[in-house]
Amino acid sequence: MSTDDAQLVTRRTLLAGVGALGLAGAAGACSNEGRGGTAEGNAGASGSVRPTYVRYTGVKPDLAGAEYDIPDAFNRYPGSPVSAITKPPGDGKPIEVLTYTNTPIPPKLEQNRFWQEFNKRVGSPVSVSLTPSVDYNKKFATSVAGDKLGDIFMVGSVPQIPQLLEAKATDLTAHLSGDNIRKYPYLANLPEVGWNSCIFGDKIYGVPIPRGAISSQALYSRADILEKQGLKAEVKNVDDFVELCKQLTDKRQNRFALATAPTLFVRNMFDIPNTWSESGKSVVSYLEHESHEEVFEILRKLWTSGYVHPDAFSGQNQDLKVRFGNGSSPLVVDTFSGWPSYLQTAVSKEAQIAIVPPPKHDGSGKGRIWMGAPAIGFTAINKKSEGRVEALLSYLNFLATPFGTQEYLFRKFGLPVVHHTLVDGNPVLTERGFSEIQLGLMYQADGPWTIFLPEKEGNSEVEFNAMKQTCPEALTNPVAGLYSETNVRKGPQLTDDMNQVTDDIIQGRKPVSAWAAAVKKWKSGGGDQIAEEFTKALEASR
Amino acid sequence: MSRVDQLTEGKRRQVLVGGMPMPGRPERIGKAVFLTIICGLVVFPFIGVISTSLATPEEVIRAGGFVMLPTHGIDLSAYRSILSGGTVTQALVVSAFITVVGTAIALLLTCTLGWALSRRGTFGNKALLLLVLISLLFNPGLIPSYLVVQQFGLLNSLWSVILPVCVSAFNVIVVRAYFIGLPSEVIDSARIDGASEWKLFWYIGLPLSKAVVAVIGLFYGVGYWNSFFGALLYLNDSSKWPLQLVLRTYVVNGVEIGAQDLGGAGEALPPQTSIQMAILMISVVPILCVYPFIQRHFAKGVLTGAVKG
Repeated sequence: MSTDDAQLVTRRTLLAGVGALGLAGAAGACSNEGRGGTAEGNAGASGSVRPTYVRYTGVKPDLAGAEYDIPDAFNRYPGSPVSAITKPPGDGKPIEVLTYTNTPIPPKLEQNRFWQEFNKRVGSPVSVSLTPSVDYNKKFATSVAGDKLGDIFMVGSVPQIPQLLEAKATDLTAHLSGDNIRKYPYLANLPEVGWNSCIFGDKIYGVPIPRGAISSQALYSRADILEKQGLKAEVKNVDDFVELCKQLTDKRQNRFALATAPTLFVRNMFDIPNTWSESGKSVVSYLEHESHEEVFEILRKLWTSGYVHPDAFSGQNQDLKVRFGNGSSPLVVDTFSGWPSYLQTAVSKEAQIAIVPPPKHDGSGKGRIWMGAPAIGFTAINKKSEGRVEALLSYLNFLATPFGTQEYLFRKFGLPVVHHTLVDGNPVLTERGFSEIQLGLMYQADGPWTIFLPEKEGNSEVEFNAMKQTCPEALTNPVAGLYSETNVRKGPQLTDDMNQVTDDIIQGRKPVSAWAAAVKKWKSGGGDQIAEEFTKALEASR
Repeated sequence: MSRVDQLTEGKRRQVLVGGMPMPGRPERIGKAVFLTIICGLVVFPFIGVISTSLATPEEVIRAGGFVMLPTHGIDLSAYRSILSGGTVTQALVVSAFITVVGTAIALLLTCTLGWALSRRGTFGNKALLLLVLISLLFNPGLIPSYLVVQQFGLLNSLWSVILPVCVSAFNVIVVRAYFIGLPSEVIDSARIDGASEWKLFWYIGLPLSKAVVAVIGLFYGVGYWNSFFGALLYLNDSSKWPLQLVLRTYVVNGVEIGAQDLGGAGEALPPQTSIQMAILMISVVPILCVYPFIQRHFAKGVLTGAVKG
């Protein structure tokens, strides 16, 4: 390599790098003020630009969830799926996508029948740059700095998102606002609240990956184990719950009632608000709620009595599924979306899952769970690809075709025989299918979540009913999808610190009184500022 | 045991081991027990990994995550499933390429630089050494590194994983110290016989420094074999990914308890533990095979450099 090559690293590039460094958060606690550009937060709900919600009615669910604000449920995959798209969405030119994945990577294009067929159906060769989800923010930060975002990119969690979108993403308002979205009927079918996180200063910058109720956390129980002991998957108050845990714990059999500390479940019994709550004109963090000390007393009791698995605070997420699956911990707190993985890890055929709804701590009624975030992220279209925006939106529209359509069946299960076989009329992935379909499509755009559990007969209905029972009264987060700069910069660290204190208190390493001090530190360390920014964003969204 | 001497001292025959009197039986038994326990502690997790990779998924879950001895016979399905798709075998080839080529380039650059810095009177010797030392103290950071790689046109090429890390300042210092320690008489006599600087390095310096070259070769080799972060940033095409990054996509679901908000990691079905362990075996075994051949140089190589630095 010659020195001429080295000179390619020009002064301008270095300056750009330094700028990008600031973007990636290395600049620490710089203030936003006086930076120019639109430092506006996302004024989510502004009526004028919101895409119209047009529900897709082409497929009739077995159990309709709309009126309870929960996903539709299906017992079987529709026998003759409808075709939702008439012509391939692509424009023939390559589509490059940057997103993350939670599964092993697929074989390369030449060896991947699914990918080849996918390109044919899209009408454009699609290349996906995948990154394990835990590393995505770093990949995203460097891709922003190097201007290598592809045509479509999942927006990572880096500071100064509004400025970033303004500089790098296509303004989609003209294509998606109001009735314009009808041109993309499957994007119009995405739940309304999901769009909050994509709207910044009256401009739409992306397409959400919707979640909502399905991401709410609840207490799973192994109904078969409970039944064997003559117990029921319901509790009336705190004492009832502690008693249930006691009954389910059997140290001689190496069985502990809870796979992990049921922190959220106990908080739900005290109606502690979902992350933030409105108080007059401002928002207040759930951390400041007055019942935390009582909550901790209960959790400490569960821990010291040995009802919580000793490895509850170490190890990996997967261990929870294993402990639940082999019955060594018949209770675990997890999201409703985790249901299929619990069915998969169940070793005994008799294993049954039931949800234990939280009661009020004093037995005076029902407790309230926390409603999951409306979206887990959103994808934007590169400003450089603005000329192709219609083809790219059509591509996303194709990816958002809902459950019950041919396109959905192909996207999630590939081709018949090669990638899936039909068992009782339901598609089941073959090993080759599982390995080839992992193109990260569900993190580019996706239809609304559907409850479909072919793994075990009748479970779709069980999950649907459990959600119907708990979700309509779930506490929502008033600032979900809104943007706070300080929250992006300092939020993760502050949350880590609070989680650490929570764990320490439950395990008795710190007294319950340490909570108040920790909250005070949280407030002064950035919490107050986050609250202030969310208050402003909330006000602007109305 | 390097040397056993027997000497008669008074009436009692005393056995000397390496110049030291051999300890009594209880002490030897104590040491044996202690060393067995330590070895057991080291070997135990390996046995767990091997057994789990050979166990059926049901057995793994029944056992709570790890199987120490598979009771239902050996099940190779985990290995079959990861080797059948072609992704892992290809990643193995990529990793082997990166390791072999990377180590060769790294050794060449490190040894030549170490030689130049060890010779008095090299042009810019002090300044160059200072630059090397500075790179020990300061890290360029994520984004500047990325931009440099991008400007050199290396993105999405395997060279992006090899070149940015092919000179490690620590190894340069170790090699330089070793070269300084070589007897100057040998080098001087070679020079009198008319050897050029290159010949001095190639025919005198390097052959006398096999130990240190073997050691830093192992450092580089293991470093390249284990590296995944560069590939994560620079390689967009996942068919070019090395084994360790592919392995990461298998275990990404195993994020820590409580970290549920990381991109919905809990949504995907976790890969079976036996598959994770099988892929772990595939990534560890090649290095384990190389290690014994280089190990004998290990202590010598590092210590010599360190003491005479």
